[in-house]
Amino acid sequence: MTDLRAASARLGAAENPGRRSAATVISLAAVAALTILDASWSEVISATVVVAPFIAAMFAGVRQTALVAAASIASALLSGIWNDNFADAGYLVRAAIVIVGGAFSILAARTREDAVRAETLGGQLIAALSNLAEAVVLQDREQRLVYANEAAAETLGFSSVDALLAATPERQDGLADYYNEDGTPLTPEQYPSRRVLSGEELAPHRVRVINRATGEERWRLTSSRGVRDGRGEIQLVVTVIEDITDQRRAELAQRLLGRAGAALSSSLNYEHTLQEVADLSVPDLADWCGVSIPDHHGLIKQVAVAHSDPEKVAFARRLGERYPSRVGDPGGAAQVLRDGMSQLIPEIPDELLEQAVVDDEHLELIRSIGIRSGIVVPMTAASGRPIGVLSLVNAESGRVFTEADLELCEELGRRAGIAVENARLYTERTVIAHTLQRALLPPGLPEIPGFSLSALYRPAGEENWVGGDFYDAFAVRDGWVAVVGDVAGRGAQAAALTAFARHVFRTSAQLHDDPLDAVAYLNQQLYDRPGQAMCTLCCVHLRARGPAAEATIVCAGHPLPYTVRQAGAAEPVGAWGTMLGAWREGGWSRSTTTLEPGDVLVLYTDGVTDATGAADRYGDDRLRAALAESRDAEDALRRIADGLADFETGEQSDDTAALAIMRSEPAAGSASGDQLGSAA
Amino acid sequence: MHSEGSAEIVVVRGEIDLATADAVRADVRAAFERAEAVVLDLREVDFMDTQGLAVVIEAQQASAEDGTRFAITRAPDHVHRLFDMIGLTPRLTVVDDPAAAAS
Repeated sequence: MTDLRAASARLGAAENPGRRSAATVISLAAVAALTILDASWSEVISATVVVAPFIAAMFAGVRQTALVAAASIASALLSGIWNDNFADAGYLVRAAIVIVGGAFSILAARTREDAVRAETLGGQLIAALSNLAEAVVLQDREQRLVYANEAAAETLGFSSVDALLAATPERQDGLADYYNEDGTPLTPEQYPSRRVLSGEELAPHRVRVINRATGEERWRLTSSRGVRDGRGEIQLVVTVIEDITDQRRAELAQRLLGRAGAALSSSLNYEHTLQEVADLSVPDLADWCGVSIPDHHGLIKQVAVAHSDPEKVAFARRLGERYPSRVGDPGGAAQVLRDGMSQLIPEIPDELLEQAVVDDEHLELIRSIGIRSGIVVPMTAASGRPIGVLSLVNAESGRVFTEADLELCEELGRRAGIAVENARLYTERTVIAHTLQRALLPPGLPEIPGFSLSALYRPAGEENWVGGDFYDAFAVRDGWVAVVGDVAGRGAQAAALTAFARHVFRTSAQLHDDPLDAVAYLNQQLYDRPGQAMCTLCCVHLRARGPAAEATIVCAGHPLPYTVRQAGAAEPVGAWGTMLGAWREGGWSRSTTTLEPGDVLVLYTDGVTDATGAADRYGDDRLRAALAESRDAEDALRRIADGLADFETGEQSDDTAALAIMRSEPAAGSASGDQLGSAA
Repeated sequence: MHSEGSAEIVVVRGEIDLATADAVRADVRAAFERAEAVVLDLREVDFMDTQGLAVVIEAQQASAEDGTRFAITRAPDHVHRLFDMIGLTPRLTVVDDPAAAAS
């Protein structure tokens, strides 16, 4: 190629106008001199004048050569005039030589000038190609390299163009491994130059190249085109190779982070989402990707592992189970978990493997993976605390990790860490919410002799929301108390208040014989709490009176309960009283009603009547209609639940609680027992 | 919300429930900060739940504590019934014309 450049420089000099003019002047002077000689001395010289256009043709342009040729022909004619020998056969031959020679000289000048132009153009083109940042190679029909620019030599891993051109095809390919975009190896049959030679039109092709010696990964975009001759046969293949490594890495990083983010936010089952993240990382980022999280026993549990070959995944799982790592292990994942510092080992030496293994068999198994390069990064919580590690390994691809890979893995680790932490917090919160919720409600309704009880409880919204509704039923000195209440507010604060209200009321009702005193005491307790601590409730004091029962009802800011007598209509019973916790003083009253066997009393919270439907709220009238003809406690609540299920649209914002109590039909045994007891 | 002298009228329309109670509460608190008399106009309130009641109770309590005059304009019957149910009605000044109450 340097030869071509030098030639182009030389040819450029031949086009020098000074040299052209000099050649023209010398040629014309030769014509003049020969003409004078011919006129003064010998007729033979007239043919020699043909030398002048030859000289012009060698060094000057077409026009100058034509001028000299015309002059030499004129000289031949003048010779004929002076010597008056036009009819002479010798003269005719000499004149023909001059004319034909002149014509040939013009043709020769033209051909030479074309050649010079073409060569200059070719030289300039080659010079331009040589300076291109993109690698360009030309291959002939046998796929031999006939030209390569400096960028090509560099891209293909050669010290110079000469070294590249001198290398055998095997060696040209042997320096690197080639992969298609999907990760499959690029076979020689798939080489773009080969496909173009066989007549295919190819779109630009992305190829991943891994240098065998250095393990460096590059991405190339190759575009090959055939150069056809006049008959349409492909004589040359021009291949432009563009290095798109930076662009491609940025694209892959963005795609990986985007997809990983989507996977991580898709579910709270983080072991599942981490597996997805690992799967996304192979083979673009690494040959292997594993995720490990320490458990409560100090084992670093491998929760996800990915490789493009499922058999290798199974192998890694078995290996992980057989040789689990522990948080106390030196180096590796345990080290990263302890200090939170990422590790990048571009080339893993065998000694490092020897240090890391448990026994010889372990070493053999690890060696069989053929690890070349590795990255271990922490998965960090928002606080920066490492809660697990991502391990990435390159083996069979021979790729060596770079700082850019490390940065990408660290970002992946941060995102995964925050997702895992969120999932854990959410799970923990759900557990706490369930625990609290259990504290708000009695563990189960007590068996109350002579009554059957049934409860309905449905906290609003998501399962982790703890509601402010509660119910309870417990024994007191002279009977039983059942209560349904509703604390104002939502969330943890309301939950705490709900637990407080339920327990204070229960204790107070068990200490005071009169439910009115228990209600007043709870009012005092709530009022004395800082902030707004308000609650409504409805309680009923149940006492057996022969086969029937006496129910004493006290309401505090709460909807009145309904009675359904003998599966008849639902009627409200009781009287309104002041809400609890809002004011120091309040007014409450007892209402007493008799429950005959088969009569049902239903206590509920406003979550039932406030339930939202398509157009309005469930309301008192619908509730009353639903409860009518309730046969027993369970039936009454089923009617409420069914009525709400038919009515409600969308998610409900309020909790729902209801408690139904039926005075049982007296059992034959207990009735006779009473009689016996009274008889005694 | 509009102001008449040292009185402010807070007009609420629609529903006062979990979703809206905090906004109404903030308006009422702001009115108590600025004015000597606050009127809560509830004539166009369709629905109120425990959260809504808590807002009215808080205003009533604030009035009892710091002497700011507080009144409500009569809400629709089904809302007013809630005030009766929780024992709030006797503690409230209920007016028919908010402007008259504010002056």
